[in-house]
Amino acid sequence: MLPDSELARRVAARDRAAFLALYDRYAGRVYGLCLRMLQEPGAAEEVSQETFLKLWARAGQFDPGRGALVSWLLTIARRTALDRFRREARRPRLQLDDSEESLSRIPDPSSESEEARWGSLRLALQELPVEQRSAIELAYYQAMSHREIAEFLNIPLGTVKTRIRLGMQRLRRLWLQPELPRSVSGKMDV
Amino acid sequence: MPHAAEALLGAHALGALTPAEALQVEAHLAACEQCAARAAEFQQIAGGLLHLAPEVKPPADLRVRLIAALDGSAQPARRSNRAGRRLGWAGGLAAVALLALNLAQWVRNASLQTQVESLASQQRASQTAQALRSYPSSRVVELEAEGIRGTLVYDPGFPLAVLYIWGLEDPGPQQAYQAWLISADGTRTSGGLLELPEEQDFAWLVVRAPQPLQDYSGFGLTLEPADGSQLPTGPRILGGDL
Repeated sequence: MLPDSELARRVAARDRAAFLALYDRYAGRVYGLCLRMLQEPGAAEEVSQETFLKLWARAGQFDPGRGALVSWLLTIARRTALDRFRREARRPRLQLDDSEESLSRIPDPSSESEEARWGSLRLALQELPVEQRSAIELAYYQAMSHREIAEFLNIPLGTVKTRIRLGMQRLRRLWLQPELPRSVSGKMDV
Repeated sequence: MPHAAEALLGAHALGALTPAEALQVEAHLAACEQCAARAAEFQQIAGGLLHLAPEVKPPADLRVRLIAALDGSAQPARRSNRAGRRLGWAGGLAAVALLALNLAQWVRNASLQTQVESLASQQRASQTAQALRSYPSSRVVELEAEGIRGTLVYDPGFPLAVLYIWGLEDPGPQQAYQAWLISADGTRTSGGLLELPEEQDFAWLVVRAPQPLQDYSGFGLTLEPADGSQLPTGPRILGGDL
């Protein structure tokens, strides 16, 4: 199986087979993110298509030295979805994911694969109080500002700021500094 | 008040600040190494959030539409004039025709000629798929076998369909992949032989049937002698219900 960087190089040289190979590899990831953000299959399909057409047009700009191709592709997908939010001046209703189902898919954290890293971040996010997690998810996946989240959840602006600040600090401790004692990171839940 | 922006670093990474707040944070980051390092960590978290959405298999026709869209945009990489970018689909066909003419005049190279013919055939298949997709009653069947994936685009009222398949092995000069339409009574009708162009991982075929597709209940692909068979004789590669 050819590595992503080689496929991207071929896509930049207008190789359709390489492009479709990348599509097969990452269509589920891109569509999943678009669906998570837009929460509407039709819109998610359109943004996924736009994302892959941008890959076709801009593959020459991908620099393997700066990160994985899938991260680059997902960044394009998120920006494309955000552009759509702005263009349509709308936001979907958030469906909070409180299920534990995703935990069963988390790979072994002792491996150093990218998937294991995202798995441990997913775990860290699950450990946040739901109020902090939902504020972070509204900000990131729905591109809501502090004020918009406050209006959406009908809570004071200051509470939103505190939830996001504490949630992000706690994610940082849990994910990037996991050796710290949990009691330190467990304080000050809002 | 030093590090006043520090409390906003997490929100900044998530994109939750107003433009004025973001400017304030960025001005601080330009002058404060400690906060810049902390901001980089929060950016790392935000980047990680991209990967947490569950993987969801997109509908099969997204791939078909993408291929059709590529045909509208697959211009040579170096072309840059604005008129050229506006050519669109019709222009793409004209460009292929011109390319074929020029190549015929300038290059007596059989390999290149084959590539041009293959491209024109691919364009025809994509154009047919696009036309079929424009009908609201069109359908897309996803086909899958071990290591092989494909899509069949058709409209039940028309006697034609477009098949795209990825992952087929080269059958060699003595054999070819043949498509079959299966009637409810089990009768098999040939839908044609698949082109398997060199240096392409996927094959395509405009399937032409004697009856509208609604008269068939299934679809199959078998490996047959290079000239095709009257009835299936070789191993079944994949199939699906219509």
